[in-house]
Amino acid sequence: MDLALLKKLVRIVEQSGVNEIEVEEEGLRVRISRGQHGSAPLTHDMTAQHQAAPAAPASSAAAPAPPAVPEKKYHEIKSPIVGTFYRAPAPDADSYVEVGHEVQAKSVLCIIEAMKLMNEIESDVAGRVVKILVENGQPVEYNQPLFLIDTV
Amino acid sequence: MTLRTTIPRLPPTTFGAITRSFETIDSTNSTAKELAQEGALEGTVVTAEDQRAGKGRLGRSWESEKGKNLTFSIILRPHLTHILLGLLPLLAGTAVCETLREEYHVPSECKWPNDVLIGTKKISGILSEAVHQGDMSSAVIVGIGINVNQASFPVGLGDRATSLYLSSGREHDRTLLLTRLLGRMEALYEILQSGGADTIIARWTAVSPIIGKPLRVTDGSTLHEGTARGIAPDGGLLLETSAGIMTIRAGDVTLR
Repeated sequence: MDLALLKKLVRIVEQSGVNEIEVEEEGLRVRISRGQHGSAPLTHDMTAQHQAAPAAPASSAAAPAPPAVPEKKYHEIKSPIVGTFYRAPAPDADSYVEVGHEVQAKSVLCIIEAMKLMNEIESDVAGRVVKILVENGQPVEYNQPLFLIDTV
Repeated sequence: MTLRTTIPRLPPTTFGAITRSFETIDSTNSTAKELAQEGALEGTVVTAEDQRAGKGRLGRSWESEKGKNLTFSIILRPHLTHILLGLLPLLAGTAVCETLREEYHVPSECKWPNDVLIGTKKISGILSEAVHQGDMSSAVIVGIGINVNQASFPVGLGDRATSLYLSSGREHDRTLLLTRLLGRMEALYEILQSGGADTIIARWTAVSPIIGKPLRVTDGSTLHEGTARGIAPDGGLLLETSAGIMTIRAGDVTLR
């Protein structure tokens, strides 16, 4: 996939009003989606996925290294403590985040309660919430993955 | 330029050395959290005569008659592993309980993890908050409410709440109570920070009647019944149930 094609795709997204476009060609997948505030489209997720080499485990979420599976490696937010997972500050309040939300580093994602200490867990990266791995009110263990974040 | 051999000493951390007092705010915890994010020093205390939205666990409120009681929060910046952070609420409850017992001679007791009761009535509630990013915790805010000179409680709260006034028969100087409490808290905090987790657990256990007692723990829709067997290294409650010993880390505890 060459640069000219990439530019063309960006233009299509800009002019068409669609929010996101994903193209796969010869094992290289490119997704282009608009920024949150209707600003210029951002290129995003350039995961080369040809030759399914028995590669070493991908260590960094953003690295363009060919992963062994055609799944993007997302950034995991893990629990720093053992406790009870809450998605909102109070039972009748809105959740801090939903799947699809854009978050910044320092955005609060959830609370984990232990011994009446309410631990606010912040994101350490900017990106989009792809998956919430724990149900509200469930116990979590130390280092248990809580969220998957697609880093920009 | 060479390093000077005599370095001026930084002022020692003293709980309450910096105090921000408000007539009315939403919640001392919220203000303390904002101050912590702006870089407030450890030991900074935020007090309020009246809270518009005093906080309890899970969105519950803390009700207090204006100008009669103590409602305050303290900013901590502990150098503790995450496991030991859970002892901070127990530490705070122990400090309140010991202060009431030793300085005011009222028979207060700690209920896990950090409520302070006289008999079955609550005299003090504590709600702590911490902010974590990755493996870093930036600050812990411990919010403490103590009913001091309140002489009566609204209908519905009266059978569950009491005050120092009601249990000792006279009014007390709130500033003196705060000073005594902060001194005790700071001493316990020094112990915890210098490796004395076992001492904190022992001091808490000494002011709590629950070990060996049959308990019921409710957390949302889950209910556990068993016998309290002790405190886990992270402050969790060890409950022996028919299925074995489990560690409780959230929930409301009542004696059966």
